[in-house]
Amino acid sequence: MREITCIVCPIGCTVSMDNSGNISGNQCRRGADFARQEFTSPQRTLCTTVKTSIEGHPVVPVRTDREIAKEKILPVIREINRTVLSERLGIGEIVLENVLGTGANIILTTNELKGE
Amino acid sequence: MQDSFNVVVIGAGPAGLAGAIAAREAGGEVLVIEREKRLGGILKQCIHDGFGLNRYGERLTGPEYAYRDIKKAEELGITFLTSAFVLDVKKHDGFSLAVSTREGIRKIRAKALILATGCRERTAKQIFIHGKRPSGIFTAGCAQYLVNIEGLLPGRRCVILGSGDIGLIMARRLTLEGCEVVGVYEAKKTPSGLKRNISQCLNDFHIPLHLKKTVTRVFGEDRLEGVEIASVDDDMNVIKGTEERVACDTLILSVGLIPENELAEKLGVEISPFTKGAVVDNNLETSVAGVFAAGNALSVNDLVDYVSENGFIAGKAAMDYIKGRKPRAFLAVERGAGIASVVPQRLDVNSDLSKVVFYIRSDGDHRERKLLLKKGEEILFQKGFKVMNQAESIRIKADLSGLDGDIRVEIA
Repeated sequence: MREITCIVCPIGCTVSMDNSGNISGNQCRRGADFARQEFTSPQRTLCTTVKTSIEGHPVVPVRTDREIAKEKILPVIREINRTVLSERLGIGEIVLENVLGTGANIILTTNELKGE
Repeated sequence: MQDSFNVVVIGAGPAGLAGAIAAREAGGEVLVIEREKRLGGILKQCIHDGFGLNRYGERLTGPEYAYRDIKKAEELGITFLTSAFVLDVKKHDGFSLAVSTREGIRKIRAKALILATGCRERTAKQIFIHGKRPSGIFTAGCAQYLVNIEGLLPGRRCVILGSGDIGLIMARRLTLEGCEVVGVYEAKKTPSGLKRNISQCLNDFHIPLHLKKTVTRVFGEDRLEGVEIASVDDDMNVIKGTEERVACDTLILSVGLIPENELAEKLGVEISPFTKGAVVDNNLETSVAGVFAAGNALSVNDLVDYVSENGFIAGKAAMDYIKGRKPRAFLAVERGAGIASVVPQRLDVNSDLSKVVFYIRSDGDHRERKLLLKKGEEILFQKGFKVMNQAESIRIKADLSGLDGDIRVEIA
């Protein structure tokens, strides 16, 4: 029997899986899906910042546009920290494509570079 | 820009933006006054995801959540005055505000006001930590601003005091940026933050959480060199002889938030000793007619979705007030067994009571309990909860049409 805390929503159910793979403790379907994933290969969305060379914006917020394997978080953040953004991109636009072959793009989460 | 509006909203965070949108959609001329250069309030620096799950069914980051409301507000033609600060406000026949702007002081008139000024963090002084005043002691929100907006690291080896959500989020954020987070220390016997944040911010990065421990002293002359940690008993008194020194160059405080009420006080608005925000009715109108409060200025929320909902209620009600609502007649909402705080604290029987939203905090952690709304012994509403945590506010919506007596909220 293994236990995890579901991070899908703020309720934070304690979800467990027994040896035959039965899930219990969740209050919704997404919790069951999350738990199954978490027990096999945990995935996370990475949210961080990237440096820019644009005046007044030393860093801007970015995230992965899909979840990546948990163990890829540190290598991906190192890659992002090597990057300097010089283009005035808009919200949702890609800063790094298919970062480290994870299949995830790093996208901007602000429109501040467009003057908003 | 004109100098007279139907509704003036103070603060362009999520509560203010929602208030402005709702008032505009109800036909009002709306001005939002924001002291910072950019709109969005604290969401600008909350770059992690998890916002908007209730409202949009999506896990947005703070800036993404704010962007949706900013775009909507701009499409609706709401006027914004940024880098502006309200110095004074007076009520006469309507309201007049003295506002400090880049062009000098301006007088602005409003028929109704929405106070959406957010909250402030408790500081080291408010929690009685002894020692000198070395640099390296930050509130969690200040550290978050430095890292996420300015791109600066506050230090290299951090101790976090308090297990509020911002502290947990910062433990992860600082770790990702290369700081060593020695541990999170919490004086209470249960964490203050959401369980999912304990899991994804601490456990994911093997950051230890120490319960029933607090910081009693700080060491260092110019820069922080360490802190003294001690165990506390159930009444939060320090247990002598348990003190130990932990080396660190940074102490981050995540020890609570208090609604910001300077303007409310200037207007003579009644403040609740339980929420530390304004006492309001079901339309989020304060004790002063025409003054509404929303978001963390009203009561500290743990979900932005509720903050926005507050704003929408207040914005619509502000326009109802301007259009000439009936004089108010109140019934009380009392705190019964197990209730730490409830918003609203009163109900206006001359307004629509068919969809009253309550935000409630329990005074402890419970399992398998019912939340009841009662008039005397009569149960008007009930809802069962598998788990009730002090750290997580409860939201309910009840139909109280035709109510003719005071009510009480309780946990049974």
